[in-house]
Amino acid sequence: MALTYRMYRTHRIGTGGLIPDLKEPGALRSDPYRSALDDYISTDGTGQTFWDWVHDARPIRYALVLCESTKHDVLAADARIVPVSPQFTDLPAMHAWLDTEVALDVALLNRLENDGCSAAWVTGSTTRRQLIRYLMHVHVISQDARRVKVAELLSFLTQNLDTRLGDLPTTVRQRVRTWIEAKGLTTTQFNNNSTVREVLHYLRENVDWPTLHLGPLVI
Amino acid sequence: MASASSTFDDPAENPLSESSVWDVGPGSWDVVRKGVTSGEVEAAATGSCAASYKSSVTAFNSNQESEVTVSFQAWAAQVVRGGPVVRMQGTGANQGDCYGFFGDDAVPNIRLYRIDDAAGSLTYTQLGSSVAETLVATDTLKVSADGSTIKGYRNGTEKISQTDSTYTGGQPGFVIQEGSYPSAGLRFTAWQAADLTAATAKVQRFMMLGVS
Repeated sequence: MALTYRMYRTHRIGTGGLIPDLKEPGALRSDPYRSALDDYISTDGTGQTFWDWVHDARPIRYALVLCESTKHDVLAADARIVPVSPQFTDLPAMHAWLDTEVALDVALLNRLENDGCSAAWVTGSTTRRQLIRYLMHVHVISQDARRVKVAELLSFLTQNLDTRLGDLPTTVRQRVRTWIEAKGLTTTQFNNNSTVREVLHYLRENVDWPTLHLGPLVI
Repeated sequence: MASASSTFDDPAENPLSESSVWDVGPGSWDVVRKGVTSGEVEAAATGSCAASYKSSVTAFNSNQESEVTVSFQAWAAQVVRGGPVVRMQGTGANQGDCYGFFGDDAVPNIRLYRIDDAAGSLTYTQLGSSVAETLVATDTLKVSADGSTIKGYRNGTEKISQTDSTYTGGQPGFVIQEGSYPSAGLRFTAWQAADLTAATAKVQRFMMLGVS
């Protein structure tokens, strides 16, 4: 049976560390943070596999899955795994979908907003590719926050996009400002009425982003 | 282009030194030792021992690869995992951060990890899918970091390719984490590392640029 591509938004599972081994009392087993897709998909020589982006502030991932259509049906039936795209028989078909306008895909726009990826900038001509690139950049920002391991930064990235900076704890505001300024960017344009959305959008608009991949898919 | 290698054939050492080729395991990692059997390295203590080394002699560029040859492995006791790592930070409060392609007692048992070191604890984040293959003695495991692309290889064949932008530089090495030393374990007979040819990547605000 032919394999097909599909994008998903998934829950993160695991503890990131160890768990007791129920089969061997006293022993511990690996329990890494991983995608809920790991319950269904492994790279096993049949061609099925998946690639995903880690979000380091929220327990979510976005993924590209290659597997049989029947397996896609199984995935879609798991409440932890939400399809973001239709199934595609090849990558050119997925690229064609990425280059279509996204403004009427309310489900996708709402999903990304809830996951901390602003869709307020979307216009009638915005494509899915542009929106998913934006999503990818938010993931990269979260990975930078993980790298410096400052809890206030990770906390900032879990906030509702419309949260006012003035409503955040002072320690969070100060740490975010230091983080942004350390990158050579300015913060004087923000005040207490500025929102998390505006800060993230400013970062998104003022960094030179390279091309990133979801496996074979160049977004 | 920087490179380094070891076949661990000096007399038994604990911790492994080889004339100071290896750094003491940084951050939350412990040390590894030369095994009783010549030509193997293994975890150096009982309990939930973690161990790592990184090359301290040669400065590698940000795009690098690291490979180990497995000599013995057993998954029956409890936590056993390890393999080659790249971009181990080696300095600062979180110096044990790295990427690794590991044999692991989890099933399936070959996985690509990002490992985050924070104040004495190590967090394992799996990147992409598991590889449903069984690791056996004489296998080689390799991990490479090229820009934001992290790849894992078994016996020279690419098994997984993922994008992650968290760690942008550091040194190659290997780690072994073992929960039941010395009854079961994962050991290596050889290690080698090298810069990748693409050495032009540079850090720009958030991530590696230059190789996509």
